[in-house]
Amino acid sequence: MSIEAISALTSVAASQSAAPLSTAASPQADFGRMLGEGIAKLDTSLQAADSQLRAMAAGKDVAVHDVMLSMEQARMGLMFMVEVRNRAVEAYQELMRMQL
Amino acid sequence: MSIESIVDATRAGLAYERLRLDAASRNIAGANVPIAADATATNAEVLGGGGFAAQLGERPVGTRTVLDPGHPMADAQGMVHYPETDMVQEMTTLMTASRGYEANVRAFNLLRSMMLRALEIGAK
Repeated sequence: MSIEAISALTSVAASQSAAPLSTAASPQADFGRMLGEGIAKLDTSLQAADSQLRAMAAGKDVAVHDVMLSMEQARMGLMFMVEVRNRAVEAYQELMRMQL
Repeated sequence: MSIESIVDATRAGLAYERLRLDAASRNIAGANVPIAADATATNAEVLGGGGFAAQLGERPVGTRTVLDPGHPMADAQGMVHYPETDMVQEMTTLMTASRGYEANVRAFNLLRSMMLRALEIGAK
């Protein structure tokens, strides 16, 4: 399970949120920051699940239910993020379709 | 109540039931292992005095003696000592621990399906 791809995203989200922050404390900037924080949190939970899985595969004394719970938690977070992304893209496309 | 706290509750419940199964398995495994005549027999037991922060401890139990003069561990009277394990008690613990584990897994799965169902709100 490779998580590098997502951890790269957090830096992108952080840089994106940092740029509009300089203009003013607009709600847009806050939303970007919130998104970045959410992705960072998701990344830590994915990495926790990954490290537990690695520990179990390496033969350490890790309970199976602990690993399964961590993986399920990470999966729930990922599905939530995907759903948020779907809504954001949907809203963007809705705006793009608007007749001027 | 956040999702994390519900998951933590399930995690603690699963760990506790596993600990109970651990204790019962140890007792069943040691039920027919002879002990020295002057040693005190102990059975594994889940300690903790309430709450989930439990760990495995030992509880002194009586001994069961069997007449077997040819046994290498027999005492002067020809008796071999075994820990006194209540098999009915241990099997009951096994069963309730297994059912409890199952119930915790069921609770978590229900939480997960509720969470995934919530993501369908407003979906096309």
